[in-house]
Amino acid sequence: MSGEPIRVAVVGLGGIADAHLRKLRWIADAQVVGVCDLSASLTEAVADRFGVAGAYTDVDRMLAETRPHAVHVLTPPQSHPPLASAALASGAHVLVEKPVAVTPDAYAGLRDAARAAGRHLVEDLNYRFQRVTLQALEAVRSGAIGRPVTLEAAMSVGLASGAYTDPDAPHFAHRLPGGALFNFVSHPASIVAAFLGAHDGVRVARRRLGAASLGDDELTALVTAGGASATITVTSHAQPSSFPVAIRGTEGALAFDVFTQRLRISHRSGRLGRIADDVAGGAAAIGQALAGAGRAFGGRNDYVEGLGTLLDRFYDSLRTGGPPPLDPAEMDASNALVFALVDEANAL
Amino acid sequence: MRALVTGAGGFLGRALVGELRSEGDDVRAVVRPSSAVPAELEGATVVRADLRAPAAIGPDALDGVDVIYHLAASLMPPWRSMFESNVIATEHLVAALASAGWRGRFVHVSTFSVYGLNQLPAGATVDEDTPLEPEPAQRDDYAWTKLLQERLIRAAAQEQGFELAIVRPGAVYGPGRSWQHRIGRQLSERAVVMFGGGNALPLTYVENTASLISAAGRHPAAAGQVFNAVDPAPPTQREFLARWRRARGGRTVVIPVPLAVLRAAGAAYTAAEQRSRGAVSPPALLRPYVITPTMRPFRYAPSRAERVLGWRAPIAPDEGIRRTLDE
Repeated sequence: MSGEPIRVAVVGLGGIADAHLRKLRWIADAQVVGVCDLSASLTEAVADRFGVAGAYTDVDRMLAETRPHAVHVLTPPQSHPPLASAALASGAHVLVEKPVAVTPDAYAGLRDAARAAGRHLVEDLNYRFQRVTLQALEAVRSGAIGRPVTLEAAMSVGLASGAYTDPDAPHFAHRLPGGALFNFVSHPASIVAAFLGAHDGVRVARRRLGAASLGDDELTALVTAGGASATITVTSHAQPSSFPVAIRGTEGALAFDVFTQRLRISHRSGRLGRIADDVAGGAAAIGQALAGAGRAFGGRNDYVEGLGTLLDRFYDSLRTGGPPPLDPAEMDASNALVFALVDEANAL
Repeated sequence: MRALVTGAGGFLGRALVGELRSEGDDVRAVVRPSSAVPAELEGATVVRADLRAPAAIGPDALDGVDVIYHLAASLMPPWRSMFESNVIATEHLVAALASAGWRGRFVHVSTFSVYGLNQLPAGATVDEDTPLEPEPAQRDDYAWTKLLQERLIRAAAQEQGFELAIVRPGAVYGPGRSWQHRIGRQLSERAVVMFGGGNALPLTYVENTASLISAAGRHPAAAGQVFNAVDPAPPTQREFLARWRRARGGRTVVIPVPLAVLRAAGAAYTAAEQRSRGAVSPPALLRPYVITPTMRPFRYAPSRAERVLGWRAPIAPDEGIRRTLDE
């Protein structure tokens, strides 16, 4: 596909579509050729806003007329399988929002369809691609903390306000099989899958549902994976929003926050080693505080920073014919954990 | 007359319902299902509907309605929420009118923001003939969605054959809404930033606005017309802020920011946006095309309603400011 622009189509023009379309503007050879949603006025408005030539309300027509190389499927998850299947059948690679599907069978069907078509199917696990997550992965894979023993991932999201609590226009996430938190649990699951691999055991310890499930979900789970143990918490009660991850290994520990992008590694032993860790940690904290201030005043939107990296790598892989940015086995592991968590939570 | 008012629970909607009731109208006030019904709507029939949902307004609600006053709108970001409340909701409303075969007078409440003010020189006079914004997607989300809304209603009026009058208010103010974003920003209870200072504020006192909207709904000559709503002799930002401060005991610190500083910050952000491949994104306030319409000095012509409808604002501007700030 060298020299030729990569034609991109987007299906589903809800809030997350803005993030994708903004990032796509900065991928030089990606050209958004079509956007599609059920509402004609929304489709036309988004096309106008992002300078897209094709505005469609019929996905088959868009695929036939624009012949995209890649399709971003950004609709509510219940509708991912038919839309992503249509895109794969048209010969396009697919980047799909999380969760890929709401049942294990639907997930497996899509994954197998992509494999059979020889096309990429990549889930937007954007926090897996945040700069800080990639740094931590690099550190763990280079042996900086030895073999991981425990992992804690605690995600606090603002479900208790905004779009999730509008009773006059209920958010689609409330209709997901695991309730609104099913829309978020993919994120900590992706962290566990990236650092520890496939799970072999799951216990949901606690699940709380608020009145009418409006912005009041909470889940705590214990997971075993790759010879290590992990705890996952997703809650809307703790504010402000944060996503701290702590990993302890046989030779050290690291901790990072996916949202603020702060990372600290402690891996030296002995008194002097601990002092050196403290000094290095303090220096890093000052640097990260300055960077954080820069972000606060710089209009920097960190929560989709990882999406930018994921899209850069996704389109690199289309240009070069290389492997997808997310190993299919890791995506399988992440989704298997999501389904196990939802099953266990619903059984409580 | 029987009137249906959308956005009846809002700041302007409450005043309009009161105005229509005082004219003896039978008022149906549309309020979102989960919203509390304000005391000012007493005497009106409350219709529970969220126009963002298709078919929220059924034929029963439209039965016997002579005039529809469409005020429902949102200023709340993100743009999608404005789009749903301003455009999709209007799409649903005009679809309901089509399926009911409704033919009456539709008064659409638009905004000054739809004018193409970037294209006017400083000192120009804004009136109802000022051309509309030629680059809607470049403007702020509110202006953009209100432009789309106005376009939608004009097309529906033509296709469906109902009468249309459009009212474009400037900055609506009154007791409970004294701050104007055209002055600058409130940083805290004790500190405000003033951008520029010498521009006239296109203020329209809430009761005057409601009175003009009501006139647009009942006067035969209003059909097919556009009326700006702006009080005569508007104060400058500095004059209004001085009274606003005085009313609050003079304890608020005013930090003046010259427009040149805003423009320089906007240019720096735009350069950073390019360098960072979009990771840095300038706030809307610092985008020149967004900020210019509110920061360039303009003059405001008296409303066409005075000439065409013989309408007069019931409350003198100074009295409006006194009621808002001093009581």
